[in-house]
Amino acid sequence: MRWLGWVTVAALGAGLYLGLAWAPPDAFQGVVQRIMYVHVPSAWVAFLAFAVVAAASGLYLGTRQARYDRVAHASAEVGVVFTALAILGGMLWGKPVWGTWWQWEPRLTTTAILLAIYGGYLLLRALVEDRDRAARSAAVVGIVGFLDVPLNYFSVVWWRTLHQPPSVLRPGGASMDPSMLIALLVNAAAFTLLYLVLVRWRAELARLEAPAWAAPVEGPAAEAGS
Amino acid sequence: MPYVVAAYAVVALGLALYAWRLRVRLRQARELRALWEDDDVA
Repeated sequence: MRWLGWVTVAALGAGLYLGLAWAPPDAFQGVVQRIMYVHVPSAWVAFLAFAVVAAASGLYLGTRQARYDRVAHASAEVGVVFTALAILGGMLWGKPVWGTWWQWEPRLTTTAILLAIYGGYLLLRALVEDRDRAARSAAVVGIVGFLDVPLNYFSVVWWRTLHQPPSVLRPGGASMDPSMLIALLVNAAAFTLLYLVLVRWRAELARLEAPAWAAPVEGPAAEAGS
Repeated sequence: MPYVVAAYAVVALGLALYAWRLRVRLRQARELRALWEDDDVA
């Protein structure tokens, strides 16, 4: 899978060039709008990561196979990293455009809640010593916590306050210049590839760090056979 | 422009540090697992 790493590096390089040099500056915001090319992909990957956590957690609760738990754990950690980066990038965009680093409006507040939920998920896993109990409890948090993702996404549609509404996934098509849209989509694809690489590494780490005596247990079928 | 530079730097540094830390932990975990397996065989 070494090729995935190189494709990711190439995609990130292409995204950097398209976002910083190729796409034109915004007519109203000027060059500050270029922050969109890292802010939006970070938020997109965070959504994707938490969707994977919910799906893998459901599969874990249904099958009790450790590999689903490892994927959920890995995706939650990577999702927390991307959520934190989306918030920081958004603050650096908000200051020059809105005149403030932060405001407790619906989109920003639900994003902060998302970070708290999955930060709590990781804390729960770290604090509960019984691995099986930690995995089960975390799976429930991973599924219930995902409810905040659609709330976060639609918050800019339901409550119009400071944050702008969607510019790509909206009725009537994307509301931006095609060159900006291309730069954004390339960056979103590059960040998605990076997410896959990081989750793969983190899941492998979780497998290696599991106690050796727990390694062969891979679900009810294995337990029944032992 | 300073805000753009800061935003790209924060994202790039954050991801690079996280990826580097993961690689270090992966290498250590592989070495530990290899040691444990050697002990088990012995």
